[in-house]
Amino acid sequence: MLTRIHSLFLCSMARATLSLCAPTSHSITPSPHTEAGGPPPCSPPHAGSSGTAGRRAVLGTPRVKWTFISEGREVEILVARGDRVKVSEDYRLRASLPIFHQRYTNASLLLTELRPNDSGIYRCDVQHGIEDGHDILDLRVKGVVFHYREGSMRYAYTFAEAREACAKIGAHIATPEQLYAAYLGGYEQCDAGWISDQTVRYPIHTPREACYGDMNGFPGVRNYGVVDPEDMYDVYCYAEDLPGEIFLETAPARFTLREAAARCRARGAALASPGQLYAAWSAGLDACSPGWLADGSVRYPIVTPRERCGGALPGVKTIFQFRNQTGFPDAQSRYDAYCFRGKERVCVNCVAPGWLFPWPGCTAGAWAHPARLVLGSISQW
Amino acid sequence: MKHLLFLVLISVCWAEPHSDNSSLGHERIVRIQENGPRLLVVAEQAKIFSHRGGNVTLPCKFYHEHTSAAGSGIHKIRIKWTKLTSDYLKEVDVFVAMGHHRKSYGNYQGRVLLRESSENDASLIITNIILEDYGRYKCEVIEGLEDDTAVVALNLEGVVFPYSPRLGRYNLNFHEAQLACVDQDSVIASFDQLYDAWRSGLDWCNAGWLSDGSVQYPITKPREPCGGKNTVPGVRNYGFWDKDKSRYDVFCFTSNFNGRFYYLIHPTKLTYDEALQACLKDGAQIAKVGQIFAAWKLLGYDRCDAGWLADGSVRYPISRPRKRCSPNEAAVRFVGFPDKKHKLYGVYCFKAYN
Repeated sequence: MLTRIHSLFLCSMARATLSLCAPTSHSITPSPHTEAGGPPPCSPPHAGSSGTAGRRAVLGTPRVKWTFISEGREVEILVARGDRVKVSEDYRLRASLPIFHQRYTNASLLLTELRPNDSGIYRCDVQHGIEDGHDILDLRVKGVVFHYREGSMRYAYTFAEAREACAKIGAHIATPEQLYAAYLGGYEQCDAGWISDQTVRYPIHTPREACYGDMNGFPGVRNYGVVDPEDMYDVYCYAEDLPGEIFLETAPARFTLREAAARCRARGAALASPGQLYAAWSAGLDACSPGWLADGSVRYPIVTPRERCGGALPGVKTIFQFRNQTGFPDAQSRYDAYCFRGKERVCVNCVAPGWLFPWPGCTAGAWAHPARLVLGSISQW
Repeated sequence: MKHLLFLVLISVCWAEPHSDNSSLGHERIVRIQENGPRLLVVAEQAKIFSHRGGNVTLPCKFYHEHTSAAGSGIHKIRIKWTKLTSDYLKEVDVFVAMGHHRKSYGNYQGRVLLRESSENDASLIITNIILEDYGRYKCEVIEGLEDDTAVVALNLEGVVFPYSPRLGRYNLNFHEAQLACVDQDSVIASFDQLYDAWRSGLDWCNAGWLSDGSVQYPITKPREPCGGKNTVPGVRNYGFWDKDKSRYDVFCFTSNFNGRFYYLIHPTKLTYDEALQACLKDGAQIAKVGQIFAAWKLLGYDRCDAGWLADGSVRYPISRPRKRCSPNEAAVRFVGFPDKKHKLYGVYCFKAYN
């Protein structure tokens, strides 16, 4: 059970005139200490409120329906009318209309226990008699939890070293809530890693040999409990925002690790850290090109899974030297490079000719909309 | 079959008083849970064919289950028809009905009504169909907390034709492309319309805008400059381009017209201005490109005389290929955009019926 609740108000509403208001874009962090959101200022017009009582008797009470739209698929969250509300099974414990039953003009949706795959479009349909209206709002749940290990071997960190390892790659050690939210978002990793409360856990949806932990055949986050801080494990890190831009550099012969670092420097940037790449991936970066990162690892971010790009699951894919998923590639082997540049720099040519997407980080708030890297525009940039 | 299916879907439904103690002691909230749909909306046909000027019924029926005497009477059934667009977040209001209230929107006003052939009939009748009516329509029925939808596509019989203006090839951005079609008594074609045209043999090696903002062209005889010689036939897709900055031709769509298209019998050849006047004098207008294509495709119009059209182009429609008149294929032949002062051509006129 989650002890903390991360919640979100999606605002909107209407009355007889059915004007709706909602922020166009909203981002929120699934971290326990920030209750971001809160009901945004939303005051429906009260014009003509005299005489609405009589009108309401004719029109009946308004009906509100919230729908979640992601990747073109619509999922009903809840429907309410008067004092009746029907919440879909998937949202039964975490979606509600806290104000609607007192004031029919406020149909704000409260969504708790946010998880990464809550990112998408929320649509609020209000119907009152023959009139109706709707509004949509774009929600992005920021932050990503990822498993991390140094190149050399499995289970190489003490608790203190684990915290340090995350900090070194531009991230933080994940909290239990963050790992659980990631698990609910579909995260699966069969490697025990340190969590901020000095426990050791790992998220499993498909129980299998060697991944049973304390839960045998059930899916869930395996938990070894609080363990000796000198014991050695991997670590789960959490990265939230990307205060800058990541870009992919390539060359016909590709780069060794040293050349990759030099190329990023020549571009006024530095090799990106895994934390930065994970954050960019969670914001929508998709590139099927393995590239060097600052810690000497080689990875690539996949949002839309395809067979030749690391298989059927999305995620940041890592190239390992050995079959047992350890060892970073030899520094002399050749890959592309992921560079990171802080936000303060001005970019010259934001839209590469002929390409539709503005370069990520070039416009203020570009990360509010998932940026997609278009391969091929890189050389023009 | 539908009825049988529906019986199987009888839902388990119960209501319980809201048990959350933390709630602020306001009015009682009733939480409803259920396992299946209690309202089912069905379109008996997914696709309906008609043509400009025609009347059509978009089928839609709903089946519902009265839960209890108290539940059924309170809420009136509300029926709403909207038109889907290529942006799935945007729908265009068409018609709504609730109780005795009826409301229609935009250019559907005065042209739409409910069929109401039975108590559960939500079918929509559209009269005097215009080109813009083409597309997919959503029938939504709401009763109480329940709702369901069905989608019906309205297809129009007609003809797709490529268009580029006097300025030459690849000169239109998306917005200009839309206007160019409207000027020729047509609308910008959808992908489905171009695809159907390709299936019936359209081959055109210039890329043109489609209504969804994509740029494509149809190839039935693969060759080097048109996507490669050793490729399969198909509609070649350039993808989505900047609607303001990118410039291409356009594919237009038009359907039956209510009027008469004809070649004006005139003693001499004409300049463009003379052609314009000659049609007016005959109580008509100089014909548009959409009209020559519609006459050729839908009426089999055939005339081996090059004539001026409203956009300053010169064309002639051949449906019976013969020597010197498009010998190899039935087509609307394009002579070009000649100097408007050249006194070398006849004229095609169009007289609209009221």
